[in-house]
Amino acid sequence: MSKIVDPFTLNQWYAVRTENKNGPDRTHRTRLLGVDIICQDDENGQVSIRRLDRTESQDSELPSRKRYGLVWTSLGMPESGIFEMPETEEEGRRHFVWDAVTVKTSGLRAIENFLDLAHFPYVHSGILGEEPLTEVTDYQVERINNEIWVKDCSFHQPKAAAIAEEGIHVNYIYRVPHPFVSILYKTCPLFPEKFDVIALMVLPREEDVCDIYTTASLFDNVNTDVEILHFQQKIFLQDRLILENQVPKLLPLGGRSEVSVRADAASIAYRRWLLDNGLSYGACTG
Amino acid sequence: MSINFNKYHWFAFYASQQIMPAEIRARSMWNTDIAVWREENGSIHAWKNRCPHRGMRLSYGFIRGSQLVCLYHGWNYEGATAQCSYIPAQPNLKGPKTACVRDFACFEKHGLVWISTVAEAEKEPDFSDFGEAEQTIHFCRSIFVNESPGLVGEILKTSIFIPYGNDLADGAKLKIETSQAEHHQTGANYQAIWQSGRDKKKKTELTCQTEVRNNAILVNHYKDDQGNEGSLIFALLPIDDKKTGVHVLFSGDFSSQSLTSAKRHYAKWAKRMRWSIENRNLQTDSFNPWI
Ligand code: FES
Ligand SMILES: [Fe+2]
Repeated sequence: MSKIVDPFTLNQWYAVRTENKNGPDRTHRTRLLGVDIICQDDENGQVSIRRLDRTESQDSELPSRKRYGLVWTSLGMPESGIFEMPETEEEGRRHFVWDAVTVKTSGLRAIENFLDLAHFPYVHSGILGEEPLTEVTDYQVERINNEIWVKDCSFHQPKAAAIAEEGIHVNYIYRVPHPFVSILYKTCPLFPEKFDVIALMVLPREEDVCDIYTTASLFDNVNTDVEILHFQQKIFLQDRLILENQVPKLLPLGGRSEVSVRADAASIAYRRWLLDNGLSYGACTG
Repeated sequence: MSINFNKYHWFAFYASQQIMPAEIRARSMWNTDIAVWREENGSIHAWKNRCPHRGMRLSYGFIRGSQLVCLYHGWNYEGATAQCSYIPAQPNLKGPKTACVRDFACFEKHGLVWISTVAEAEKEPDFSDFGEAEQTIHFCRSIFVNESPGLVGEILKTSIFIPYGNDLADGAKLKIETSQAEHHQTGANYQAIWQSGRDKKKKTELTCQTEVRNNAILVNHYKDDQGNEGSLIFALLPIDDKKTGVHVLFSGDFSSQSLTSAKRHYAKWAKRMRWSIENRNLQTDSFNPWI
């Protein structure tokens, strides 16, 4: 391990593979917090996971769980199970799990970008936002059970989802249950009283490189899987251009090197929460 | 005099012609990523390539009038002050004082944008000996060599070339018969005799005086025995410890037609020169780009 990983980061569950993706010999190699790991499926589809920097006698076996279409593990001792997303069990939803995309930046930058509304009219212009409707109205940020909740966000979006036909006013709720995971509840264009759920599950390979898994539970009975994937991919690529061009790659937690305004309340709360939990992996002090 | 790079000098950063109004370009100098951009009216600015808000590279942004707009959240920065003037997410908020981009002194001269990273830079490079008119020095091209700025400067001080107009044509196999260099306080003098590979009897003699100006500029006055004379100018840009930019310029009497072919002639030489510096034989001390 190149750097001592702080306990908050170490003792989390991380998605390391989609459930159904597998390499030759039913193995899948990846990297978690600077450690090479390997997932191996047996005939019954049970996944065992090992870290490759230790021999068997040194206790190389890692825990393995399946949840939300992903395989999860941890290098530490998680205090609890994988976070719950009860909303996804609601009837009538279509579930999606998209395979990881590698992004050359800290996973924390990716989560912060996901929590940000102000970039919609510029980075996702014509889709999730549009000039001159750029104002971010005040929203609420709370800490509940050591999670961050961002509530009462609303934004005008020209094309809020693959299924949206016209611009609508969208309400957003964000939840951060884990330093490298964020869940978004967003007005469904089809049933304005319901929420689509989109989650970003980040695997920090290194401090400054991450794999991003995205899951979604949507109400959409019109678009094909491929059409929905394309919509998601387009947004993702727009964000990736930003993420790979932020300097520095590590997220500054010191509050000195980046200027914030009220519209950044979610980002400020996220950074403070990371700091209060003693996180340092993927972060810098500036 | 050896080439002494320090931050108190002006460095040729970009060719003016490569930055059109309302365009942004970026590259490094001393390991610092710097964006140069023009307002719609053509005024030029050199800024640290980082938005004070969330660190986005400003070179991905766009220009509106006299403002640079960051791509990430659209914060506007005023050209003249580098100060944030508008935050789209909060249209009624005045840009905070701290939302100010680091800007660098810059001006344009002889087809180049010159910048300095310190406020108290030494005096601007002087090319008045080439005449006052801007057109007396022609920009040829910029090349980037994977070698340290100091070494590239030393090599270029006595680097041998064929002057434009000499009838030892491009592409002919050449052999240096003799070459002599003498380094002194303010530069170097050197001579070389070329022999054509095809016609052994055909020779040319080149005499050069290189003068180091403002530390990072080499002015090479050349003359050959066929009556071609003029100057080649290398304005060096330290990108980092291992990479050097070389802006190649030249001066002399050219018709507009011969100007184009002279540019091509020296551009070709410059590429050749880069190749030979990067692949040079460390055992031999005399430098010949055609070996
Ligand atoms: S990073 Fe430039 S406006 Fe936000
Ligand atoms: Fe985005």
